[in-house]
Amino acid sequence: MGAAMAIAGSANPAHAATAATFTATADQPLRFGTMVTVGSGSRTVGADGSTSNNSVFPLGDRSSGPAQFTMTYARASNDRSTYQLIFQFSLPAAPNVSASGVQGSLTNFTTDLPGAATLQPGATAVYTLPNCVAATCSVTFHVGGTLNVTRASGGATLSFPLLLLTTVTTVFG
Amino acid sequence: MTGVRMIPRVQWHRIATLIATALWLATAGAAPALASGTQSGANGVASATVIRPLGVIALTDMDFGTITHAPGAGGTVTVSPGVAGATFGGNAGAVCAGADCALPHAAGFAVSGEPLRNYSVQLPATITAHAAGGAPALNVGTLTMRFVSGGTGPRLDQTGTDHFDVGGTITLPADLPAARYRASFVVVVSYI
Repeated sequence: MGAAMAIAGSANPAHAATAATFTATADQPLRFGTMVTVGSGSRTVGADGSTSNNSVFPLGDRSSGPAQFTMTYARASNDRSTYQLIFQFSLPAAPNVSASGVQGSLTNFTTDLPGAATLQPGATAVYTLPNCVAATCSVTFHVGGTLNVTRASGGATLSFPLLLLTTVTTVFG
Repeated sequence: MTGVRMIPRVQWHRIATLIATALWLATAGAAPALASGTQSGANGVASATVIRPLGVIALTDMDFGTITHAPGAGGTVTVSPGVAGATFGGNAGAVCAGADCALPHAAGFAVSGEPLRNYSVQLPATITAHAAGGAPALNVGTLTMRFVSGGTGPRLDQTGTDHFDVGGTITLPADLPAARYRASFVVVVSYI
């Protein structure tokens, strides 16, 4: 990409070029909704929004849903190349959370990106977006996961950080 | 003459440029040029709300007391939530005196769960009471409820508790033999 940008830049020196940028945004949280459990159990929200429960009883599924992230590559303003965008991304293990007698942990992330159906915490997945010719090329995907809960007493709202770490590499396509 | 051909300087420059371009194209074709990876991160959130299970305990049974009816005629006996004693219809009446007549009462239940949550109660449409010795079964119907939480619907208070009573009407057919009747019924409470 560097060589191509240098050639294009020298061809039109009258305009200041903006640099290429890459951003990742969290569009929607991963929502497990409200549930009841006597002792312990788990609830899985799939990347497609499906849900399953083990020893927990949800209070309606309307408030459940997968997380949504968008990775966006904006090329330099004077760059006319066609690229493949190679996204590498990972979700670090979320810390266990404990509040008011309720403990929770997140496991078994899933995504709806081809080739990355499952994503263990900390593991890296790769997604290739071919033929990026537009000024910005982005990919939006969803992340599901499994919440494991143990309730000793009381009730609580648990909130986990869900950090997406991602890298994009551009390849002349 | 040495046989060496002289090439003008300007042509050497053009050849050098062509060679450089050819090398760059060859490099691009053989192995795609890679840009250095650019990193980014997004801070998402996962959330869940876990609440206490809903529990219900029967505190007091529904009790119609000791009742009778006139020969050849039936009647009804009703216990109402929040009201001590019973009311009678038809030819039914109480067999009691003084304070004992206030003993019949509705059933009472205690509910516990997540504070400030609404819940609902499901009751059977009718309850069938049975007696030993071949006496005919009796129906208890017109079940009514009264919640301590009141308002528009049952709701757990700040401590996660509530209380409700269930009353009903038992129908006595004519010429009912003397017997002691018992019945059980299921109460289901659910978060809404």
